[in-house]
Amino acid sequence: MSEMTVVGKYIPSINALSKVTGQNKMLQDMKMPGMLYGKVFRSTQVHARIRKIDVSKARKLPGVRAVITAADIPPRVYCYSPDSVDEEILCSKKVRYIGDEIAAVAADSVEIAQEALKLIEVEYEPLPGTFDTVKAMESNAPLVHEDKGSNIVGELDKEFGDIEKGFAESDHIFEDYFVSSRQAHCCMETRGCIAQYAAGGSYTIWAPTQGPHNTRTQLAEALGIDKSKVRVIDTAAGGAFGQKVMLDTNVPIAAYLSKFTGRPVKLVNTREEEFFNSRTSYEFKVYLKTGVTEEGKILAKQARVILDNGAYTDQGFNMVRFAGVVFSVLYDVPNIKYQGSLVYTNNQPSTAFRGFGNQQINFAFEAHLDQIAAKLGLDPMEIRLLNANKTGYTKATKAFINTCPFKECIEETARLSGWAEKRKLYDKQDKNKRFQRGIGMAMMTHTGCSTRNGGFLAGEAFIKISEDGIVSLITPIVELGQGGTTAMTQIVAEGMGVKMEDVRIINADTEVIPFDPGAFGSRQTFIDGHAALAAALDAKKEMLSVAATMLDCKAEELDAADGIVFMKNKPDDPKVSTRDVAKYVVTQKGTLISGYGLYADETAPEGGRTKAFATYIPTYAYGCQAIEVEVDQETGKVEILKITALTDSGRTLNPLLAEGQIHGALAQGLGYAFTEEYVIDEGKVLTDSFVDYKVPRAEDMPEMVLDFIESNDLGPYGVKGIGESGLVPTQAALANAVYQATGVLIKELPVKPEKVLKGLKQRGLC
Amino acid sequence: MKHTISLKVNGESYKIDVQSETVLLDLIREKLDLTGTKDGCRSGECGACTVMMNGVPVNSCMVLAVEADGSEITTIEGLSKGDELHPLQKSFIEKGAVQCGYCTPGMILSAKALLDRNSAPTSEEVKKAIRGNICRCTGYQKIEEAIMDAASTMRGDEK
Amino acid sequence: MNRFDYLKPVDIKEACTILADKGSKAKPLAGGTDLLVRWRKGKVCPEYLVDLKGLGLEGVSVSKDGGISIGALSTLNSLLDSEYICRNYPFLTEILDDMGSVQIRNRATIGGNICNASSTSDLAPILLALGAKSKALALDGERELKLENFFLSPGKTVLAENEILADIQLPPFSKKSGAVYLKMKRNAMDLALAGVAVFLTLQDEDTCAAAKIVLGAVSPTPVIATQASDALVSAKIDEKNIEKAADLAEKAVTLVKKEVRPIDNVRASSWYRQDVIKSLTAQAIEIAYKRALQSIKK
Ligand SMILES: Cc1cc2nc3c(=O)[nH]c(=O)nc-3n(C[C@H](O)[C@H](O)[C@H](O)COP(=O)(O)OP(=O)(O)OC[C@H]3O[C@@H](n4cnc5c(N)ncnc54)[C@H](O)[C@@H]3O)c2cc1C
Ligand code: FES
Ligand code: FES
Repeated sequence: MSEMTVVGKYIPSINALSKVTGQNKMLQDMKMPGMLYGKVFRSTQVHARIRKIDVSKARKLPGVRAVITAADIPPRVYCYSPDSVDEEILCSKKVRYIGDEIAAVAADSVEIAQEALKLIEVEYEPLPGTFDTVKAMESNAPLVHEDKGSNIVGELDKEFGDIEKGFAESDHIFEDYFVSSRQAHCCMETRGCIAQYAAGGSYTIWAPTQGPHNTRTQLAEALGIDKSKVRVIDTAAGGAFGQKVMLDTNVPIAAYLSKFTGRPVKLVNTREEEFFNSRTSYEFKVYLKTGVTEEGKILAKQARVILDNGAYTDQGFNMVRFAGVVFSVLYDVPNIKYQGSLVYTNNQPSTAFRGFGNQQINFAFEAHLDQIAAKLGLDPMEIRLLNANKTGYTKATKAFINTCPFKECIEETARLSGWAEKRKLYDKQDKNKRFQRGIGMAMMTHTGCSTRNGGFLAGEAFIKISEDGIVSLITPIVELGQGGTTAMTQIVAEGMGVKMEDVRIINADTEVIPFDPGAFGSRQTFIDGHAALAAALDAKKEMLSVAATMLDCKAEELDAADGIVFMKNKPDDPKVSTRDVAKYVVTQKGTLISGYGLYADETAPEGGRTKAFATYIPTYAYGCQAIEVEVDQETGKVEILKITALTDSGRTLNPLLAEGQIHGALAQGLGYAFTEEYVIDEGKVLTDSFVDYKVPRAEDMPEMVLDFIESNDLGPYGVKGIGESGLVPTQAALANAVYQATGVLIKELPVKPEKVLKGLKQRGLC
Repeated sequence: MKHTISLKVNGESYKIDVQSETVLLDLIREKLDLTGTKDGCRSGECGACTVMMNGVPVNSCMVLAVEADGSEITTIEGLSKGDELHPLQKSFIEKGAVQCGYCTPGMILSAKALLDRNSAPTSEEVKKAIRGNICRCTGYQKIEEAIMDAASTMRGDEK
Repeated sequence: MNRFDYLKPVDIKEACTILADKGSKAKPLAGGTDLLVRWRKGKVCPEYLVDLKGLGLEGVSVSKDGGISIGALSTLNSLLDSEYICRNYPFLTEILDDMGSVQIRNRATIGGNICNASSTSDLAPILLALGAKSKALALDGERELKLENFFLSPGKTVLAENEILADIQLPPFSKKSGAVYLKMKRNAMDLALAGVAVFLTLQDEDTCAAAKIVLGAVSPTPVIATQASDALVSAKIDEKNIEKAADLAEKAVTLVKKEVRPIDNVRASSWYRQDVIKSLTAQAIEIAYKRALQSIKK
């Protein structure tokens, strides 16, 4: 590939300037003329029938403009995913978790709205709740949704090869059980929206989302209206991490409040609401059974996972499937069985989280694998290499791995972390010493580009060029701070040969942008990047043909880079600037240049768009991490000394932003592994503030050593998505390191000192 | 009850009525429309609301507006002089310390408070100085690099 | 939101008058870092907040005997910056440096920390270990208080509604003494899960003349571990005696358990807090001992 001008370079984010000066306007910063402030009255009961709702006093409070309950809006049960219709905008008969929406207020100020909430009276008839997924599946468990007849929302059962035969042929069989707890996203900006109703029945929504079109579709579904009546304008989010893939339950409420008042209504969560109401990742209970040969070859692996859906269905079906796919694809195993259940409880509903269930199942299997290695007397690295994936079809699932840097990832991680020496050193350390060290690793595979679910694998982009040569890309890319818009700017600048500063991004507004479900599954740089590149190349072709007229040569003889058009055979001799070409087009030719790009995955297998399993992922990305720890055996306190993270980026479009993505993911992964304990007691969230829910701070972060492997895949310029994978192997790597240090394996996240100390005591080690 | 207070924000004088219960954060964001200062928790934990009050950083969610009577406040909007960015702002951009940007204003002010007192901090000192500021996006590494870089610029080190 | 009225007295007398007048309806306001959080959560609903800042209760003054009197309204950061404290009570500087965040310390006051009577206070254990005293002011006069008798239960102190805590007095720190406070926390910015303050004075290089061990965050109010402290007095500070004292400190928690409910919550369970106390105590004794030795040698 010829020398690139901006791709692969350290380039600062294009939105950073407005953010460091305080000029960047987020949802919470927006005000509109006549705007009212909404607040939601939420259930204080885990599970109860609503006997009576009295809002009369609240309605009378001066400054209150509307109070609504289920009685005021059309009855409707909806679901974000059409798989399990179970949710109401405001509860009419029953509440199913603490925080469930019962009524809402719009008032002149937040304070008045809050006062009004205090005047709302609800009489409940408490019902027994169900909180543990295993118990919830029992036949006598209280039903979260009576009409469903069971708390089991959905099940998935997949077998590849012959699992029983695989176990029969194995020399050893290992079984184990792990719990991957919930994690709160803790976006620094809490969820919120502004809704504006317009006569004629249409709504405009301003909200931070991971996909304005998704929000539009889901809001239309929730309200039971035609999509064309909804316009969503995405306000760049203050963090998303999967939380904003699905519609915020506040949005339909704000929409109705606006309809009732005729005024824009702003509805923003408090931090407390954010903790108990804005949804978390799914809790996974994971049962594993693995059959191996004496040498460590895995012949059969089986997982049974149970996901806590919470009270309403969100991304659960997709999550069960995706976790199963990555479980089945990581390691080339001939016989695989995967069973997943999604179960209702009276807990807060769960939703997507960066990693999409991968980290939950990865923690279990990668910790389990280290145990197997230990029993067989193998080095953890050895057993992984022995079962490594290779380019091509996997044995059992027939997933196609385009580019497989499995081996490189693990070997590079070992090299950068000093694996071999440290592992040996710590094996030999004096076990009587108070402080013990350990190093652990974990491997992962993740999608390098979303899934072949309906419409996920297509993207469109348009380029318009103004008379001064400014190139505007109309794209569905969403800016969450991950650098999506910067990546698009780079791709357009590189593809068209214009200067970065001449590129503008037009995004966010469903009335303007092409359809696209949004930023998740590490998909946007890949898909929308492809579309942007195609549009850039399309526009470039036109531009060069105009330049050819100007220069009196053939278009094929020309090329452009960094804003300059030149003869291919004389790249150092600038002929004309791209800006001048744009001007010439308008003033001399009386026309305009534009570009159109479409990317659609034509290789999606028949029927794969909805029903396929491992084949529904177009390309897999790999990653490996090693963590080194020191454990105080007197207190169980674990100090993380160093983390090494290798990421298969396909191609690193922008190392500055890519490193930022991995650093951030590691912080979240370490938080999940280590201090972020989300405690729910009988449906009540006890960790509802940063005092009790400990997200990492600067001092908590260890030395981070990063590297990228450029496997050069199918994305634009070879990229694979890297937005999620950085936090997948972290949990197991930490647990495995603590295991080497102490002989204690923590099987339920997080790996907190108290559990380590308990483990040490049980083993009689202190 | 209403109180009339006088204060200077980013060099501009204001005389303004506030309720006893109004916190400085709301005064700045809602009344003065200086929305660069963010609201992240309202309990002193996250630092998104950090402003400088009489030269030292405080959580504006934990200060009553009346308590700020007679004080001088600097918010993120007051850091740059026209188009001339503060070295911290420049470094935050160049070193990739900004992702979603929600923590950024508070982070920069905490960093400024550090550099005002200590022109050559160690990496440990930098970490400690931003302990009260949560960033959920960056893992802090690039923020630390940016602060070190700005410190070096402000000292006039050759690069 | 519960409404309150903010009152700003111009002098101590006015402050005392307001407090006397309003009784339980009023609450003194210092840095507000505890009070405002509790108010927002609806845990306290005062009708009046009486701001005590700017009444002259700030600053550190050195008393004749070389001890100090710290104004109750001194912010933690102002104390962190105090050269006198850093030179004469370096362990205090060390504790302050690890409390909250810079922003919090710019508001939070030492008096507020004590008056809040939280089990997780990082200052209470060390101040108790040092044998701190305080002065309380009211309209009808002032009284001297021993910090030892100050805490009644979480949020409750011996101060009457109309009283203001004026200062915290520390005795001079002897050349033969060493002190330290160790805290167990979950991450960088956290309240103590368990804390141990040890203050000891040596007779000679290896014998202890006086010792005080105070435990924080394990019970509703700080606990003076008397038996554990006594175990060190006149004893040699060696491995055996350190372990004995640490065991006794752990036992002190058991004793407390019989009288009051030990803290057991999402931050840490009570058994863990108790267990950690032992290890923290042993470590703290060692450090305090080393420090005392160092100062003797100086
Ligand atoms: C984010 C955060 C982190 C924190 N970290 C720590 C930590 O690491 N360690 C720690 O120990 N604490 C910590 N705290 C708690 C708090 O900051 C301290 O307890 C602080 O010292 C309280 O002082 P204040 O001046 O803010 O008290 P205020 O909130 O003003 O007052 C507290 C109580 O004491 C009363 N009061 C105050 N002063 C007087 C007086 N002079 N006379 C009579 N009554 C009075 C008030 O009426 C009120 O009831 C933290 C708090 C927050 C919000
Ligand atoms: S908003 Fe003030 S510290 Fe979080
Ligand atoms: S950049 Fe998003 S919170 Fe720091």
